[in-house]
Amino acid sequence: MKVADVPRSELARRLAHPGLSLDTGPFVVRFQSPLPSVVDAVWNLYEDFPLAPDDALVDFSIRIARPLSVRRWWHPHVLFFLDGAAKPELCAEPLAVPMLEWFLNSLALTHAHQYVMLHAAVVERDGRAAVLPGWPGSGKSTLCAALVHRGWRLLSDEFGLLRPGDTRLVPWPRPLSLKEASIDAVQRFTPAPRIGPIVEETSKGRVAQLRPPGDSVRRATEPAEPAWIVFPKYQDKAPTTVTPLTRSRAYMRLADNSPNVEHVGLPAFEALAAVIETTDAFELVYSDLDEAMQFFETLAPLAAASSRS
Amino acid sequence: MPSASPVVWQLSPGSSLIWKAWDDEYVVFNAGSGNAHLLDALTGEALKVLERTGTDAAQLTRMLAADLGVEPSEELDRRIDGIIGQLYLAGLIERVTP
Repeated sequence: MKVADVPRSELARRLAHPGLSLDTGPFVVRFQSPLPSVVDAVWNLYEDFPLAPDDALVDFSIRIARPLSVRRWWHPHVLFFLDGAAKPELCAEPLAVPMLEWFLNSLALTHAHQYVMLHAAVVERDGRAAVLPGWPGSGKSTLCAALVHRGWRLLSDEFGLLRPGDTRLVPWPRPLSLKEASIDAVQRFTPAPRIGPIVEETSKGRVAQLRPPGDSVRRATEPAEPAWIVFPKYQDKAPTTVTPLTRSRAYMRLADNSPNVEHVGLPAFEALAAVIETTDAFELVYSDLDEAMQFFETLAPLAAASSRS
Repeated sequence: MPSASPVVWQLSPGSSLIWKAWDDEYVVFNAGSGNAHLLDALTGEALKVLERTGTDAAQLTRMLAADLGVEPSEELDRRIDGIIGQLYLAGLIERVTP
């Protein structure tokens, strides 16, 4: 059974209490909240995710509650209880949905060290994955959103996950996080994007979440072998340029985009080195999204040819 | 007045190096620190010598010149001095205390 199979009123009741566990691929995530905005977010953005049994072991749990103080009504804020912590995080109620995704990222970053993590979008076509490492502002989320609407499967818009000893990337196809111009870009190139509420005036400007494609969610247990590493760099008005990188320089940049490479240590070094040895790496500078898409189209035919040989 | 003994350099204690050679560069991971370092070919070869044995700059230059099949030169001396500084600042080597 998936979220879409649950009547909305029942979804709201279960989210309020005792909470809802979702199988998101590598992690079982439990959400609990009576807030209508959170119910809407789960209903719209997680509709294709399977429900996990109520007694499933939960990797990350997030409970969002209204405070009992005046903050319940005056400049409303909400409380985030992360993994059952006694001390909650406080945030303005309009930010509840983007902060839900942000806190889920944060929990993974601090706990999921069974994986070597990459701050990267990952997409796949014809059985081969493109890894797009980049910190905020690089343009990777915009590229990722465009690619998944041009026939690439979404593995993740935020996390590349590697098991040490295995070069295949593990999917975690959660809602894509968009901000500012990327919201407009997605609305331009796809006719009916399922975008959640646009939240204004956050520290990152306007932000919104894009529902992941149903096919990507259904294939959340299918890892993908990486074939390309593309370091995106959005630069206003810049011509599209593609620069091949040497393996040593690609390794250093990939490691710079791994938040836990030092924590994991030698297994992380060996995992990233193994990825480098089986991929081609590039830097992509772009300002025109369609031209950037054309570069990715040149990669995919190569994959189709090699998979047939 | 007796001349000062040359400074001897060696691999930093606790270092354990894992090497990857790609094209004409090295990426070396130090399991002791958890850090990875990008080294050009000559710097990598210098570190490999110091990984095996402590030595001073002049002897290191002679050893590398022999490996490269070139004559020692002032330019090579300057490059080796720079390499020693780079490896020291990266925490990969230390001075040997007599």
